[in-house]
Amino acid sequence: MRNLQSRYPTGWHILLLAGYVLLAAGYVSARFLWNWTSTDDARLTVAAEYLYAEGTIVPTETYPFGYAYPALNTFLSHLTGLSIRTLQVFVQPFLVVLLVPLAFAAYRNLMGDPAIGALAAMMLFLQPEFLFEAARSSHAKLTWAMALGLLYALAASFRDAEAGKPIGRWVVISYLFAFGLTTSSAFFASSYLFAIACAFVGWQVWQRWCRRQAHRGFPLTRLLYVVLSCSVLLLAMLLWLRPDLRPVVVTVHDIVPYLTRRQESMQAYRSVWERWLDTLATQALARADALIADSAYTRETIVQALRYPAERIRVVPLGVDHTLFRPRPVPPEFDARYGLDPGRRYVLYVGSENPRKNLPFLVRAFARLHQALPDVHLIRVGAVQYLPQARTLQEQIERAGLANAVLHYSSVPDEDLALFYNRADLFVFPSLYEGFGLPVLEAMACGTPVVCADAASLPEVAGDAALRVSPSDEEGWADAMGRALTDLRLREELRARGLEQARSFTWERTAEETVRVYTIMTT
Amino acid sequence: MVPLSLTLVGLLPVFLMLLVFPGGSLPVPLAAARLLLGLVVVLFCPGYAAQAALFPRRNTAGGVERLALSVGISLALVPLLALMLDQLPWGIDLGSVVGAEAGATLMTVALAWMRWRHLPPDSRWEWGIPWGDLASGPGTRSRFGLWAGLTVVLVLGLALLLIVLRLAGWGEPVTEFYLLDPERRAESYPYRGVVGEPVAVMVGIVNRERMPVDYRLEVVDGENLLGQAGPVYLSPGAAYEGPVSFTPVRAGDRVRVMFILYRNGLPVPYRTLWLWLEVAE
Repeated sequence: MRNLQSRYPTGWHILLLAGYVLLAAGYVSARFLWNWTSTDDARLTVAAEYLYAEGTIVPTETYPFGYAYPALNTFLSHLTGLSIRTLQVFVQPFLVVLLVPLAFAAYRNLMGDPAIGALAAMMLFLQPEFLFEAARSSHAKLTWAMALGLLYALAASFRDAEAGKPIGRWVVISYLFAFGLTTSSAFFASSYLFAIACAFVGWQVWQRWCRRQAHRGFPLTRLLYVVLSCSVLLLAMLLWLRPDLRPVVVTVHDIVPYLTRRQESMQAYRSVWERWLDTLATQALARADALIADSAYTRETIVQALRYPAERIRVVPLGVDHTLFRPRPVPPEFDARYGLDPGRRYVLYVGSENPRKNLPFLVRAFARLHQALPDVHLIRVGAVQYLPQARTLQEQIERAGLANAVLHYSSVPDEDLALFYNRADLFVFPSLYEGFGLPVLEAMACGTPVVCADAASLPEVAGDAALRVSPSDEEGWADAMGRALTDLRLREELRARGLEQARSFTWERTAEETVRVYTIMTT
Repeated sequence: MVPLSLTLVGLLPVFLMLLVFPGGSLPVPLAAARLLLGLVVVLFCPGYAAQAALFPRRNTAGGVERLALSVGISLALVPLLALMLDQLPWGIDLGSVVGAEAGATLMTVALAWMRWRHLPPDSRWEWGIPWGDLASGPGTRSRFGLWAGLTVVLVLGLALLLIVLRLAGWGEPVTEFYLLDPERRAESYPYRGVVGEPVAVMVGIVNRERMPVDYRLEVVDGENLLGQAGPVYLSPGAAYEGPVSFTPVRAGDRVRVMFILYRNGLPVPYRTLWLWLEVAE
């Protein structure tokens, strides 16, 4: 055997094997071309395309067993410039050749002889089922690479241990491969890692009691360390994947930043910090046992964007403080305090200049209204939160010649906010994205007619008690605002319907329904 | 001095960055270079540097074993890097992927170099193809025979492959049949419906049968016909994607709606797909 080992040119074997595997991969690629779409490869393609488009490994229903293969395809697609589909059809089958050196290394160390290792690797690839499975554009080749790599690392650690060499680096490599295996196919990894652990324990027992004399110097403690460390890794992974034992309920106001993260104009994240926090928050949502959403719209966005099961989300609308927000007379000193003209009509907006609030659009629509009704002024109540947008907005107002017709009050006490609603002749809310839209209800509770965007959660919050117009239709908005200001019958109708609509939203109801969700989760 | 192979492995991700970051479409030779570099940077470079850092001494691992480690560690690093990027604010996009692969490679190259230079020169490992051993020395004749044999076997294999493909054709005859959501994405499929109210999906059919085919689609729930479409005539290679709506007729938590594709007027279903719906009264 020694002679064979020293003279036998295993390199040739490996080259021949690699050539044969490449030919077989060429056959699989050419014969099956597009047929992969009818197998689970199609699901992996969709999962990889999702990962590529979303840039996150939030698990999808498409392929729940592991993200390693979609991640590999995404990495390759980014770096090679090929589409995921092209990679799947024309490149992935050929990557099966990567298994050749891994199979040889694993068998060589298991057998202790390069020639027999090369022969064993060849036997492996001569199995048509294995070859086809690995050459397909599925996660199989990655799973097998990790499995063979793990086998190799552990066998090599035995080899070094027997020779009295340190095995720490093999432990590191084993961890890496075990992690790769778990993320490639969690289903396969659980049984494979368990089988390897069992085999090692059995082997150790054999060494300890049956062949004690032959291997007296064998470092059992190190071997035990390998087995234990792999088990600890597996346990850690399971604990990490496992949800908390206590039920977790999270109330979600909206996931608008997440939804708009790819829209440059929406400026969803102003800093890396905000982006990171939102990433953590979205991941935490995915692990909650139940969610409470403010609106059916928020519920739908969570289901669509995060793939969260719809049946575990309860819609609990927010409420209005009816003791504060109610119709009441506005004292004359209020106008004096805020410099308002008692004889003038005012349109009110409450909120920030966050791009999703669509303020530049409101200013444009208001400019049209102002041409028709020059006595009408616009009031904005809300602190400046987005400085660049606030500056641009101010420039826009000045360019439109509305500097004297638009008033801005940065922050006002709650009591005065209620008076602003009462003082206003019309409340407007043109948001593109909202999780709920509380100011709409507050205005309605004060008996102020409302014109709002026909978008996001606003249709369900405002119902038919407001004039709802598309948040991109400037002319429609100017027209609706004009009608709501001048048509007395319409104003009276909107006021009555608004009061009725606001009455159904109370904090008592919100509290009761929230408690109900928590009670269901804990019993 | 840094070993040549380590320098090269450290430089490859940098070359790739130069190709990737200017953006825009590349001319064919550069696109080909990006393809090759992309494959090597993901599948080889980080693992190569890592194995050099772990085993800097000569004679601690064989050539094929080092190759196995290079490939295996590179592959195993991908899910680890993906997890790391996912947790970081930037997410997994072109810039972060190039950065992560280049960062991982350069860090391990630096580590490998530090370990390597602390070893006595004669025990340092350096990668090289043993051309001399292959072409000369004892057993040269038998090695020449192996080279020749190997070449003959591979050429014969390639010829056989081409003959088989010539006889059997490229690609099996197949019809792609798939469903998309109304926005043409393979997600957000309808999962709820109401009896009597139409539900819409997009159906895709691609004819790869190498002959013209007449397709017809039926949407059924058991014995009930819920909707139909077609006939759609598709020439070889042609694709059809269009909306199909169907109306559920019975309520249930898990109603299986089958999409059955027939071809050329044959009464036998050719391809089937289904959706599970939660249908309310």
